[in-house]
Formats: sequence, structure tokens, C-alpha cells
Amino acid sequence: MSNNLIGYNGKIAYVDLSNKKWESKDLDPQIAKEYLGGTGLSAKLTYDLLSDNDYETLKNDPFHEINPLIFATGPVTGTIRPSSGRYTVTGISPLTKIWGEGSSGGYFCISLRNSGFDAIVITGKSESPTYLYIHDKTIEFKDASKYWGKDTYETQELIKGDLNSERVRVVTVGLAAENLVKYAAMINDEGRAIGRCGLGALMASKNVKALAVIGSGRVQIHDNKIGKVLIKEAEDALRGDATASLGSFLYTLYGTNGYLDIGMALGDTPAYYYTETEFLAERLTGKTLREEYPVLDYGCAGCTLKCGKQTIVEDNGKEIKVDGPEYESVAAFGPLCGVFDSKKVILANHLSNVYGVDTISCGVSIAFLIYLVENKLGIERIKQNLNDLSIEDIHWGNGDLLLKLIEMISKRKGIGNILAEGVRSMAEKFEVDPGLAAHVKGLEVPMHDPRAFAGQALSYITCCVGANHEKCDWFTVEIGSINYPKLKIQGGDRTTVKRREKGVMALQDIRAIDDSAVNCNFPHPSLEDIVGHINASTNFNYDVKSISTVGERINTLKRVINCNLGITRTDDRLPSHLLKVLKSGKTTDVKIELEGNLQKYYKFRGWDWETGRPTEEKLNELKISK
Amino acid sequence: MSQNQPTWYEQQVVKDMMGLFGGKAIRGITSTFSSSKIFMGKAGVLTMAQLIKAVIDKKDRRALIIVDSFTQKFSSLVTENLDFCEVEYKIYSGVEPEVPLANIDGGVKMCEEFKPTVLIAIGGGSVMDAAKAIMIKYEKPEVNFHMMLPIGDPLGLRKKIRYLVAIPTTSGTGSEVTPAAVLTDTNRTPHKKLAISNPEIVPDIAVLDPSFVADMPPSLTRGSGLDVLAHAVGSYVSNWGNPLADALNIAGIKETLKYLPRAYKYGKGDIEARSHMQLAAALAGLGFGNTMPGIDHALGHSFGKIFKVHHGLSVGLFLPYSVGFQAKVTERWIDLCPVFGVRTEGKDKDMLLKEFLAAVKDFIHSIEGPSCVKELNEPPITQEEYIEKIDILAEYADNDAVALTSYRPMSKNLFKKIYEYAWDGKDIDF
Repeated sequence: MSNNLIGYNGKIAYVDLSNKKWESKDLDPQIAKEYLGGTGLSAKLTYDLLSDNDYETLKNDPFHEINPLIFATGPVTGTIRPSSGRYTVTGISPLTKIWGEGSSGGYFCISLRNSGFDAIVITGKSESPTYLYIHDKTIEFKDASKYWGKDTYETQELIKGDLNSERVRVVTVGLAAENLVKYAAMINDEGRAIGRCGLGALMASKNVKALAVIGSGRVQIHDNKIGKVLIKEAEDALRGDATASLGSFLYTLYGTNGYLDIGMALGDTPAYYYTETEFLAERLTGKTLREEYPVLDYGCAGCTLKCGKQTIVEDNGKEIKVDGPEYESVAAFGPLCGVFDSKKVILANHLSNVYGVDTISCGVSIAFLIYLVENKLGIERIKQNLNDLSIEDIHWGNGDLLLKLIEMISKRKGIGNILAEGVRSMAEKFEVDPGLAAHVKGLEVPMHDPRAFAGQALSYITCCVGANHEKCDWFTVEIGSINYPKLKIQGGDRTTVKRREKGVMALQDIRAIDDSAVNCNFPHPSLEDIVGHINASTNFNYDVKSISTVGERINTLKRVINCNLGITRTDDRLPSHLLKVLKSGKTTDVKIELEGNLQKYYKFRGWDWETGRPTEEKLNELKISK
Repeated sequence: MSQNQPTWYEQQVVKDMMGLFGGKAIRGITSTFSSSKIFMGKAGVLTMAQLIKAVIDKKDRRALIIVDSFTQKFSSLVTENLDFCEVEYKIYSGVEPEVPLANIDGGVKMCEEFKPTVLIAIGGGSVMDAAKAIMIKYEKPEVNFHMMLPIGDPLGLRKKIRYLVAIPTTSGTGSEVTPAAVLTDTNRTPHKKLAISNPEIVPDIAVLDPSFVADMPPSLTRGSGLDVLAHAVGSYVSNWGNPLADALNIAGIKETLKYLPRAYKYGKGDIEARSHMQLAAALAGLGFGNTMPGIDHALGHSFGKIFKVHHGLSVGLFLPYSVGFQAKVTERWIDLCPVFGVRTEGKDKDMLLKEFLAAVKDFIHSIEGPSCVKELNEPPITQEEYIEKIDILAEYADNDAVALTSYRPMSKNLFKKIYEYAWDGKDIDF
């Protein structure tokens, strides 16, 4: 503890890989108050680290050693607040070349929280494969040569074995990251992933294979009783209300994949590379998987929802237990690729965990390839890069193709080398219309079709990392799971967000708070409880208004970073492929026209309509300065 | 009753979001299975009367018999048993076809005067549905049928009525075992069907005595039998199912395939076939009543209303198109292939679907029913009049309560397209 900062370790570790040095600095209480922790704090630390020249360098080379890779927890992580077992990782994304971030559950977060540091800032590049061993408020540089080339599961076990500690928690990268696959993930606690934005590749580019952490300390929080009272009040309010409990029952029983056929009914789950929203959902829903396979529940630290699932499946005559699959992975490898063989989808998800790739970007990239071949687009260029893959094998519904391509991508073999760059680059390499590549700012579009919810579309194009449904899950607002009328976060006509642009903005800010506090965004406590749990840990005495300002500040700062990396208003758009009007399914004939909404959004955000950059006035208001 | 009051299921937000509740996960979290006691055979009415005698004190033993002008003739089959079991009774014979809302009031008024503890409905769907509505209004006058949700807070019935008894006089509707009733809102122009559903209006006792259905004419036998088939197949394919309902639906289909042709051909001469078709109707009623019927019912409701075609004949006609349409999002129909005698080995899915739908159509033809609109002769419809009405057909179907529960998202345009294909029996290919 330092500077009377309650709810924090009060220390930031700065690791310089190039010189094999590290130092601990105090966390400025004012920064903690203004940015909380997690991705908010990480954005502030990044902003303070990078010069104008650095931005110019990183625009062209995100693998440059100056790119700060930051692991962080927040004041709420690991507290009594339900589902607070998460940590975050940030950096300039190798995939998108703008701000990148991810969060993951499991138990690694608890170790990191109790490690004595609120954030680990990693810069430079190690000469040889290294892993960082963080324990007793100190950091050791350990040789990772023997783990290089090992898969994520094996690496976790080997490091734990070598350190001979049951308490050690490991986050690692796999083969995909080592091969600098642009959407390579990090994996912790068996199969929990920091999936999006390719931060695994960034870690591997620094020759870091893993972080192994023993959390031997304990962070003092402001008042433990407050959290207990809030939880009891929330439980009492819900007791006996079966309807209000439906969502949590669904998560617990079927995980996020309980949504698959609901998504189809709403036109939200994309199929066949976003050309359809109708498919054989019944073969892949969470309930079907539970009926067809033994499925066990998994909960992250302190979670009562336990939406995590582990599935027992037979593979090559052997019974194996695999993590997941959750909704995004099922949808990306399933309907998006036209694959409805549940075993193949489960194994594709598992293979992604083993090699360490983001299932969304990977699934979208594979689906894009199939789409091009099925529609005879870019065929000559594709054929030139196939190597040992046959063009005849590339078609909707080929489950074996999924498994083969995931391996080829992870090893950058043949056409996998092109798919490993993501869809934006694929369009360029295959010389097809760039508008066909389903991404926003380089990040592949997740499994919530923007045509299903206008607010989701608006959030995708304005999101700090590109198309990411977790940074503003507006679809959950429209289906009634979230309702914060005070912030205009409320459902309505889902084909438009007219007069609800502020709501999209406010939900983005709430999610920025979630990622900075740091906690999971699946439970939807009241606004007062969100604030209450942060105040229970810190002594910042936020109210709803002031915490919203923190969220706004965090998102605004990330926008500034992105603008410094070259983002302008012209990047705030959906690819033309996702503007096509569908002729079947629930979103038949839906047209997305967001120009007016975007203008209003800019106005509310205080972003300049011409440049896309936050105005000086807004920066001053939010106390963002260099 | 206010004029032009829309129902809860006509609201856009409901139409938009109802698909949520069809998700398998939601069904896994919250499903109910409701059923009646079923007394079968010639002694069924006596068994029912004896139960009433045993359970209800003599001073409270009052039954209101609800009939319409046609089924009044069956009253004596019941009253003789009520007399034997010392059950006081009165008869309300004012039920009109399609049950206009105002029609309920007469029955409720009689309940308020006579204070029955038992309601006995003798009739087809209209009478049984009227009895359900009368029970609700007698017990809970404040209930607004337009906003009565099928889920959520219980209605809290059975404070006055101890037993709701249903004795069907047709073998089709299944209303004797279902939680559903269809009324007509005559306050709206044009008059509008008003569907209500609640587990508490499942009749407590269904009496399946073939004496009550023996005299059905062939056309009614065929129409009501096709209603059974549509209920069971539509429900099975709907994906709202569970193993309980699945088993009942498959049993209902098997009974129908075997006994409907006999019942149609031999009428009251083949009383065993009549009896089995009563069971088939109840099986399918339990099946769809605990899940959802297929969109053949939305298509058929609209078609039947506009062209004045028998309900069962209508829904039967549209059954192959309903299944063909859902096949894009479900393979559950494949389970039914062996039931219809279609071998599945070595066939790709498209071929199998073609053969399955052909088998369904063949069955309809086997009882001289139409499998496309141009084959219909009760009444015959010209292509011109059909095309002329196709927009309104689609609109009504899209506003039907059943359209909400389609596993594959529906729209007016899709209904229109299906109607177009159904003119001359074109297989659904979209």
C-alpha cells in the first residue's frame, strides 16, 4: 500500500525485456481515481509512455519493442462483487494496429491481484524465450526455451511442474502466437482466453512465452461489509422472481451457447459468412450439446453463474475433456462456416485453445475463405497459395477443413499463412473487394450480426478496438436483459437507435468501467450496485454520475490513442458486406443507415465530425492532457 | 370491452422477441407438461360422474353442462349418469360457433346464478373452448383475455370450479386436453380470432367415449383427422418439444395413419377406429398443447377464415408446406420418415425431404383430401380468387398467434410465398 490508496496494491511493475530489468513505481492515486484499473489504467499508462514518434513507429510496426503490453487487475477484481474474477491485457494490436484489449476469467486474475502489483507493463524484447515469474512482490526472468513450441495446456502444466507450486497460475501463448498469427490469443487456467486483438502475438513477439504468478499478498479494501450488504439486497430483490432469474439459469445450465437458436430467432447469429441468419441451430445449441455429450460446469473465481463449460468428447478413440465451447466459438466455427457437426465444432474450439488463437477472428477468416471459393472470387490467388489443401475441400459444412485450417493458420503453412493475417489482409492478398472483409478497423466482426440491432452496429463502428460485442453488448439491452433508463440504456425498436445514441455511448462507458474495475459484464447489477462495489473496495465515493465520467474518460482516452495511430471518422464504418440487405430470416430487408446516429454520437462524445478526434474542449472537461 | 383492443401477441415487440422463448435453452429452463385425467370407453361418463360423487359433498354437487345447438342431443348420455350419481345439473346451450366473446357472458351469468362446482363441456372445439373461457370469467371476472399471458403469474382458478370436464364430439381439436382456447373478438372489424392459453384451463377430466363421435360424417372425420395429423407433425417438428411431447406426438401420428382411413371409410361401423382416433386426437392434443403447433395452423386459420374451408382440411393442406419450410432450420422431420414408411438409408437430405413430403401428401390423398389449393373442392377456389386474396391471407397468417412460435423466423412475405407455392403443390425451395 502506498499513498493511502485503498483497494489497490499501489504499485506498477515496469518490465524492460531488452535489458532484463524491472522496477516498481507507485501508482498515482489521482490516476487510480480517474482511470480505476484494468484497461482504463492501462490506457493511461500507455498514453503516458508513448511519444508522437512512437505512434508513427507503431502505426507501421505494432511488433516494435516499444509497444507496451500491460497486464492489469482493478480494485474490484477478486472482491465479493459477483463475477469479479477477471484481469485484462492491453497493447497496440498487431491485428488492427490500433488500441487492443482483452479480458479473461479463471483464477490467474486472483494471483495477479495479490501479486503486489496493480499492473505489469512490459516493453522491449527479450533475446531468447523467456517467462516472467512474479512472486513475493518481485519479478524473475526465467528461461522459456524448453517451452517454446509447446501448446498452451502443456506449457501451463510444465511451468507449474518446474516451479513446483500448486499456487502458481500461468498465462501463456501457444504455437500461433510464436508464429505471430495476428489474432493469436493468450490462454490461462486451462482454456480461458485473452482472445481478441492478437495480444498473444504481441507477447510472443517480445519472446515472452508466459507469465507465472503466485499471489502471496492480499489487497486491503475499504469496507468489506458494504459489498456483503449490496449482495444481500440484490439477492433479496430477486428472490422468488423466476423471470428475472431466467438469464442466470440459462448461463449456468447452458453457458453462453444457450443463445445460439435464440440468436437465430432474432436474426442475430450470422451464418455462411454473414449471408444468412437461418441454419440448423438445433444441432449446436447449448442444450443439444448437453444432451449429446457430458458437459461439466466451470466457474471463474467467485462466480455464481458458472457459465463456463467443459465438454467430454471422444477424439481418436480417446476421451478428452475440452474447455467450452461457448457461443462465439460455436457460432464462428459452426453456422458461419456452415458446419453443423457438433463434434467438429467442439474440436475446432479445442484446437484453437491448444494453439492459442482467437476463435472469432479465426472462424471469420476461415468462413471468408469458404465464401470466396463458393462464390468464385479471388480463386486464382487462392489457388496459388493452397499448397497441400485442395480447392474442392473448401466448401460450406466441411468440419475437417476447420481442423486442418486452424492448424495451418497456427503454423502459418500454405494458405494458413494468409489467413493468419485476418480478413482485412486476406481481401488484399486475394485481390477481392475490400468491402467483403467482415471487420471494423481490422477486427473481425463477432457473432452478433449488426443488422439485427442498430445499436450494436453503432457500437461496433465506434468501439475502441473495432468490432467487439463485449465493449457494448447492446443486443442484451434490446432483449431486455439490461435496463438502465437513467443512462438511456433501454430497449425499444431494435431497427433504430434514434434518440438512444446516448444509451449506446453510456453502455460503452459502463463496459469500460467493467473492464477497469475489473469484473465480468455478464451479471447486470443495478447502477447503484456497480458504483457501490467500487466504493466498497476503494474510498473514492463515486456516484453514478462521477463513475460514468470515469467511463467516458477511459473511452475518450482510448479514442485519442487510436487517433494518434491514424484513426479518423472514415474508419467508423461497417464493411459493405454487412450492409447487404438479407432476403431471409428475422432481419429480412433490414437496411442499416447510421450516418445520422453517428453524427449524434459524435456530438454527445465530443468528437470532431471532420477529424474524428475528441475536441480540446472535451479533453479539458475530462482532464485528459499530455 | 373496448373497441379494437389488440391482443398481447399482436404487439410488435412481442412479434419481434417471441423467438427468444422458443430457444432450446429457455425451454430447458422452463417447460411445463399439463394433462387431464382421461376416462376412455363407454363407461367413461359414468367413471367421471362417480368421481364427482365421491369427491364433492352432495350440497355442492352442481354441474353446468355446456353444449351448442348441435351437441345438445348428447346431453342425455351425460345426465343419466349425473342423475345416477346424484349430481344436480343445468344445461347452457347457448354456445355459438367460433365463440364470440359476448357468447361467454351467457354462460358466466348462468354460473353466477347456479353456482356450479363442475363444468361439463360436450362438443367440438368451440364448446370446449367456450367452457374454458366461461370458467375463467366465472372465477376471475377481472381477467382481460386480450392480455392473458400463457406464462407468468398463475391465474388462480379452481376456487369455485372443482372439475372442468370435456367430452369431445369430434376427434380433432384436442381441446379436451389442451391449455388453449380460441374465441372470436366480435368487437373488432373484421372479427378477429383471440387465442388464449394457460395451463390452468386444461380440463381436469377428458371423457373419450366413442358414442359421442360415432355419427360424424365422412367430411368431418377427414377434416378433424387431418387436424390431428397437423397437430402432431407440426408440434414434433416445431422444436418446442421435449421427450414427453415427442412420444405422444409420434403415437398420435401412428394412430392417425392407421385409423383415420378406416374411420373415414367405415364411419360408425368401425367403432374401434373411431375410438383410436379419439386417442389420436388426445395424444396430439397433449403433444401440441405442451409445445406449439406448426405454422400450418397460422396458414390454415387464415385460409379457412377467408375461403370458409373446414379448419382441419385447411391445416392438413398446408402441413407439407409448413414442414418443408421449417426444414431449413430443423431436421426433426427425419425422425418421422419411418413412421410414414419412408426409408432413410442411403438418401441425401433433399431427396429424403422430397419423399417424406410426398408421403404426407399421399396420405392426405388416401382420404380424398387436398394437398394443394387447386385440388380443393370443398369449396373449389379459382386461381384468380386465390391470387386476389393472397395478400390478406398472408397478413392474417402473420398476425396469427401461432406465427410467433415458428422456429424459423416468419414474416408476411414468407407466408405469401408459401401460399403461392401451395396453389399447385410446389415443394418449398426457399
